Amino acid sequence: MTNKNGISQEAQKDPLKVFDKKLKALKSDNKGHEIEKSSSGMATGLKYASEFSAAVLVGAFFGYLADKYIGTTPWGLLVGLIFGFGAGVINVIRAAKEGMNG
Amino acid sequence: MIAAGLDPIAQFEIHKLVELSIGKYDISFTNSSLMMVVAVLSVSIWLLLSSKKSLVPGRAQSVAEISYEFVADMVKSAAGKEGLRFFPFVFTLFIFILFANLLGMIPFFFTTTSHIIVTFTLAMMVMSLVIGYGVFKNGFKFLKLFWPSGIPMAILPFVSILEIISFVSRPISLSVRLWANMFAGHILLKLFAGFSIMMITGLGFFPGAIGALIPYAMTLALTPLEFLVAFVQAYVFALLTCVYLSDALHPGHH
Repeated sequence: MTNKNGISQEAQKDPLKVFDKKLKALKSDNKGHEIEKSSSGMATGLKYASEFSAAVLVGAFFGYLADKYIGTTPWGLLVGLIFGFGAGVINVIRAAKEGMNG
Repeated sequence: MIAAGLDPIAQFEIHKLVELSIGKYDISFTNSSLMMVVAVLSVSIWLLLSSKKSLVPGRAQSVAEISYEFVADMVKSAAGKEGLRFFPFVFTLFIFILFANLLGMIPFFFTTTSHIIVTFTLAMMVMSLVIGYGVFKNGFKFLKLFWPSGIPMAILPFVSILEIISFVSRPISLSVRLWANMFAGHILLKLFAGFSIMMITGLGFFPGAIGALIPYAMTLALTPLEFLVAFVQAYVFALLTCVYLSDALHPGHH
């Protein structure tokens, strides 16, 4: 039902509700797709590189600490590196699962 | 031979503006601190001026409302309804990093986030909040984060070690990612812009200007990309903060 101005009576009574409906309809159309898809290749590379190398560094650092304070030279560093490598792979898999580029 | 003005690293140098020290600790006010203050001030001015709360928002208020909803949606989807108690923290982080990144895009402005110690401090703030709140809320159950359920006993200790290393590596990867993106982006921009200047100084104006077109086109293409990176990295930092905070809220299910 519209009057001569082309505004429905419902809209005249409660323009806020109508506006809210329109806003929600618009919002459901584009829900943040653009951010996750638009990203540079360098950012993607840095994401995986930082995830992987950080874990390797931390693993090696733990091994180094064990060597220094328990005196297991050189096994701590070796085992720590291997565990760091494993944790790095886990990190990369998790980062890929999150599915965000950046 | 590179002219002094074309050194791509020189833009990251720290200069002391006001010399200060407490005991033997140097706490001088540097150009980096100045840019942080500028970032905080511009955010405050924007939010204070746009808080007239009119029903039909003006431009500034509209942007403020959009960014509120953007961050609130992100917190809700990554950390659940409970995560909303961390909304002020996440919003502050997001807006501060976003402004620091974007202000760094203005020529001759210093980029605070291009120093790893700054991003690492931000990441350590996130991690101490995660550990502090996780232990406060869950007590010893917080350690379930490192002792996942549903894994055979034979390999559980190894998985646990991997989980601990993975957890400790989080602040490093979080800070390195933001820092490396800003650092590399600014070096790239400066390099390509510097190439076109070198072309002209090296080859003379006429052949040099033609040669300068190619690096100039690269600079032109990289600038909008850098604005995108500035936004995306602030977004990623805030999103990962939410993901880590959801670990503190519900340890034990990944």
